[in-house]
Parts: sequence; structure tokens; C-alpha cells
Amino acid sequence: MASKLTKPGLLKNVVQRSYGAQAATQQTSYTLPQHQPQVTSLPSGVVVASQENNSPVSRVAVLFKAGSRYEGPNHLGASHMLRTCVGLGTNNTTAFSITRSLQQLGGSLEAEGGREHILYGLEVIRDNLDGGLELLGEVSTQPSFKTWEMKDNLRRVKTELALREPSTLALEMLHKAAFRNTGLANSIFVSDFRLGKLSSDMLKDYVAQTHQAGRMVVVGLGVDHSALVNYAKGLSVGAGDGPAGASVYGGGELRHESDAPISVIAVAGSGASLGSSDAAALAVAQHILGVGPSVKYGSNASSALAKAVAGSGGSGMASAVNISYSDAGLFGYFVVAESATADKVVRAAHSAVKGLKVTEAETAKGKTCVKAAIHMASESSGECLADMGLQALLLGKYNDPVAAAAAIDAVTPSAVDAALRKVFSGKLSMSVLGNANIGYLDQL
Amino acid sequence: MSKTRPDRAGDRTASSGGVTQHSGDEAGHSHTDRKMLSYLSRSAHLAPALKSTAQAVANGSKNIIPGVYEGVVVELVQPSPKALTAYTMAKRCATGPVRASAGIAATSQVRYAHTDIQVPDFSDYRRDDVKDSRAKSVESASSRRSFTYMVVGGGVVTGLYTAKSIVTQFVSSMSASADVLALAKIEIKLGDIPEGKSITFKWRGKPLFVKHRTDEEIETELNVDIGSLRDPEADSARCENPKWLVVVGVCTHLGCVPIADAGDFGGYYCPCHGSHYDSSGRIRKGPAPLNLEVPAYSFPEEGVLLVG
Repeated sequence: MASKLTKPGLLKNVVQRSYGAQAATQQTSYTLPQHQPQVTSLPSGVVVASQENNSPVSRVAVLFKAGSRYEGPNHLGASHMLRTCVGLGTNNTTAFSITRSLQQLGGSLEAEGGREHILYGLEVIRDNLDGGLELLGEVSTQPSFKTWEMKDNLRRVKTELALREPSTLALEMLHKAAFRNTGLANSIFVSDFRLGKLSSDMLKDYVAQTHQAGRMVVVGLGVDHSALVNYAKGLSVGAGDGPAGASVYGGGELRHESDAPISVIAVAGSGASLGSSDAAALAVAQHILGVGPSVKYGSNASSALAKAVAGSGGSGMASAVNISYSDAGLFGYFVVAESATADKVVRAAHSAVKGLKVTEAETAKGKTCVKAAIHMASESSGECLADMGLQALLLGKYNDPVAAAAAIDAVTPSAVDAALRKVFSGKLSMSVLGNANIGYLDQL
Repeated sequence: MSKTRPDRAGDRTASSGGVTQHSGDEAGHSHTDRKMLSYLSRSAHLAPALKSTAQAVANGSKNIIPGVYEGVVVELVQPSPKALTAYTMAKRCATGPVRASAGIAATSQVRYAHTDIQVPDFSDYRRDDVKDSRAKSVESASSRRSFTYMVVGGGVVTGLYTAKSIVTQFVSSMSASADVLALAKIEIKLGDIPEGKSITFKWRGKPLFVKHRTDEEIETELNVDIGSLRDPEADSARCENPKWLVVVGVCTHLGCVPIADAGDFGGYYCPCHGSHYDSSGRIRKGPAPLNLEVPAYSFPEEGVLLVG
């Protein structure tokens, strides 16, 4: 049979029904105990972080520093292939067995990839965590990239590439323009011409280089910390350093002409890296400038960018972009506008950002918005897990949302102003998808 | 599959280069600058980059580049998004890094939607009540159901009846045939039998005695003491009409045929073993145990006897 998990106990139903028949104790209220997150660094270099959240669903993720920035010239596109090959055959199991067993356990498996990380995430019913962790370990550390499965996967990858939105493409182009020929410029999507060229040997080589103990983190929500530490110790990964993925901000422009009715433009300068002193200030600046409506069918009309765009005479919308990596960052604005009037909108957004006057009131409002965004993001367990994983992977520690909100409180208007000046005094990068008649950076 | 397209009138073929053929086209310019420019533009290295030629009407003497076979190319193209309001545009504005996710049968799955399958139109077979897609089906449910039940019920009953008829037809074909059944009855004209006489007919392979009894014989038989008979039977039980005695002429002892108007009792006498029957066919003397058998008979008309 596909798995041993399908044998129901004969008396299981009877026993559970008997429990249900017992009289319920009278209680007026009941609060579940709150737990703190725990972080452990193992001598092998693996960082384990977990928090018990009393959820009936346990979430465990294994992260590696195997994002697209660590792709060498031989491995361009490997991180995308790795991400889409999750769940295919491993050294000790088949794709069918993984899928079926997980479905019977009541779990799901997904892989998330970014420029710096790959995350193998498992969500499973708490009682079946052991079975799920076994499969997670197989999938994350022992992929076998069988040639026929890779071949079948190509069609899926092509569909993924075709389903990308212009906003995604604009951001990829922005990174390419900003970081040029260094690691962070590599796209998280494989290029068309590299599609059939990544053989399973290359991918195994990439996995061997990047899936190592010093670049690994295991995080969990709704799990016992000591059990998770034992699990992390049991995962078989190599020891070593792996590729460094150095990145240097350069700045430049990239355009892709098309006759799409909507143009997408992204402009950014070198921002704050994770954990730097400017990070909190730029987060506040981002929310002062505007991140889009928080009310359905609204337009966030009170933000600086929305006001500027509304008064520009063009039809469009703008938001502020703030991206932080472990040693670099991007901060700027993102415009979506009708192609005919996009130039006006971009010029208005650019002048709004450059000429932003940061007042006390605006800073207070921005700080409140940032804190609200941090807390609202922590409402989703998946987001929480990814956040915990990324912090542990890139910083080696974990600041829970409360600590992060406290860090935001310390921001002053002058700090925000200084951070903005620093970003926009350096060289900027620009990417345009659509109408190419939009002014170049020196013309804005 | 053809690699080159043949030249036809009206075809436009593109050729790049062809420097040597064009040398005669341009008239010589006296100005040195123009000569320099035209020389540069005609030089073999730069010409393909600076200009391009399209032949409107081909003459077959110039090179044509190999043609292109246009096969069927299935391209996956994402249509450009429609964003017409500030809200929808804002939803497409990025604020953070791109993270892509994939999973088993979760995100990023390929589903094959066969849009070339055409569902046939079944409206000819549908009930009028439910043809309108906005009509609630519960409203017509009871009428549809009762119609269906009645049709099915009637069909079942009819089917059962038909089946039973067919089966009985086949099974009854094994019973007696018509010629045999025809011989099972006999019709006798009673006017031909004089009083006091007993006539013998062949019926169902057996002799049938029909006796026209006289009044004295009837009187005698009525006065017989039934208790003294070996097989007690009243004469009225044996004869519907006292004037006529209808019995099967087979002796109940061992099956011989008795003789009429013989014996001690004015009836029949069986010569084989000496059984005496009276004029009602009852056994009086002799070894026979029972009276002569009385078959089923009737008088359908006046003067006609039907036996069988």
C-alpha cells in the first residue's frame, strides 16, 4: 500500500465517543497558556527557533541560504527549479508516496523561494507531526531530481513563467538594474533560454553546495522546542560554507517596451539592510509615502504619493517599495499607470518623494501604520513562520512582533529625513515595463 | 515541409546585403562627400546593418534568404491585466520583496482545461419546466416526479402483462392441439333416437351410451332403494333430464363394453364377467365396483345434446 497510515483502529470511534459522553465540567472562562519563542544555535551551525501557539495545526519549516543570489554562472535558474521540484521523488521516497502520505496525514507541503532563501514548509495536524517531519526531512535534504520527472516539470515551469504579472517582472528588472552583475541581480525565475539546460546533476550540485548545516535553519510553530532540536540534529546535511553570493549596489536603468494599456515603473535607490540602523526609519518613511489602500475600494488618499498622483493629471497609482536583504536593500517607489499618461504620474511621484517634508504628525502616523502592519502580518501563522525563519536565517536571532514594534517607537522625524536623503542622494535604479516614453532618471 | 518559399508574383522576399547587385542602381554622384557616404553604406561589412532591402517583384536572379516554415506554435501568454481604477492599480503596486511559492497540487499547478470540448445541446430532451435556468427546480419537482412515476408505473404494468401473455402463449403451446380438442366434444341430435333405444357413439376413444328412457323405466329407477346399491347414487343425480341417460360405456370392473338392453335389470349387461347395470347405469349385480361413469353434458338447444 502507499502508506501504513490508513489502518483505522477498530475501537477508535467507540473510545472517542465514550470520552464525549462524559459530562463536561462547568467552567466560566478558560485561557490557554501563552508561550515565548525559543531560539537554539547548535554547534553544527544550525539555528532552531520555535514557538508554541496552541494551534491544532503544527507548522515546521526548514530554510536554507539557497536563494537566487547564490546561483553561480553554472547554476542560473537552479533556485527556481529547486522550488518547483519540491515534492518530486527523493532518494528514499517517490512523489506519489509523498503526496499520498501527506494527504492521509492531513498535511500540506510547499516551497517558498526568494533571493536569499528557500523555505520548505510543512503544515500538518499536530497528532501526525512525526510522519510529516519525516517527509519534510526527505524533501528538503535528499531530492533526487529524476530526469523523467524534471522533463515533466518543464511544462509547469513554463506555465509559471507565463503567469507572472507585470509588477513581478518590473521588480525583477529593478533588481537587475540595481545590482547589475552581482548576486542579488539574479532573478528568482529561471530565464527562458536556461529552461531545458539545467540537468539533474547541476541541480544536485547546487543542492550540495547550498544545503549545508551552516546555512540551515529549522523553525516551528505549535511544536515542542526540544523535539524540534532533536529533529534538526537528525537531518543529514553537509558541513561547509557554500557560495557567498556577494552583492554590490550599482544602479542603472532597464526598459521593456510593449503596447500594454498599463505601464509599470519602479524606481529605487540603495536602501537599508536587515538589522541596520536605517531599517526602522525607512519603514516609517515607506508608510508615510503610502503603501496602498487598507480599506476595500479605497485609495489611501491621505498618503503623500496618492496625493501627488491625484494631482498629476494622469491616471495611476503609486506606492513606496522597501526591500531589505541581509547586506543590501532597495527603497523607492512603484507606479502603475495608464500608458498614455504614465509619464506625468511618474514625474509627480518622483517629485513627491524627493521633496517630502517629514513632520512630527506624519512620523507619528507612519509609526502607527508600521506597527499595525507588523502586528497584522503576525495574524497569519504562515507569515509568522516565514518571518521567524528569515530572521533566524539572516540574522541568527528572532525578534517577535512586540520587540519589532518597540524598535519602531524609537524613530524620530529627523532620522526619517536623514534616511530618505541618504537613499536619494546616491545613484538610483529604474525599470519600466510598457510605455517607453517615460523620462529617464536624469530627466525626472 | 518546405524550407524555401517559391517565388511567385506578388511575394515580397527580404534580402539583406546584396551589395554587389546594387552597385549599378545608384547613379554616380559628383560630390565627394556623397561618394564617401555611398561607398561606406555599400561596403560589405556595414551594409547589412545600415539598410535592408525588400524585393517587391522577384526576378529569380537575386538571392533569397531561406524561407520559414510556419508551424503551429502554442504560446503561453499572460494577457495584460486590466486595471481601470486607482484601487485596482494600487493592488498591483508592489511594496516589498518578491517571494514565489510552489507546492504539491497547491499553488502553481497546471490544469488542463479542455476548452475544445463542446457540450451538446440537450434541450430537445429536457422538460420544459426546467429549461429556464432561472426557474427554481423545486417548484416543478412534484409534477415532474408524479409524471415520471405514472409513466414508469404504467410501463411496468404493461410490461408485466405482456411478459405474462408471451410466457403463457409459449407454455400453452405444449398443451393439447386444436384437432385433439375438437374431438373432445360430441354433439348428438336427440330426435334420431327412438324411445327405449340406446345408441352407442364413439367419444374420446370410448363408447358413449345415450338411452332414450321410457316412462316406466324412469318410474322404476326412481323407486329403487338407494341403500341397497353397491355404489349408492340417486337417479336424479345421474340424469339431468330423466328422459335421457348419458353414460360412458366402459364397465367399471375391467373395462369391457356392456351390451344394451340386456341383463336382469333392464339396463346393460357386461358379458366379460357378468356385471348387470340398470337403466340408470348403476351396478346391481356382478363384480363391477362402481356405477357407469356419467360425463359432463348439456342440452344447449332443444333436441341437441352436447357431451364433453
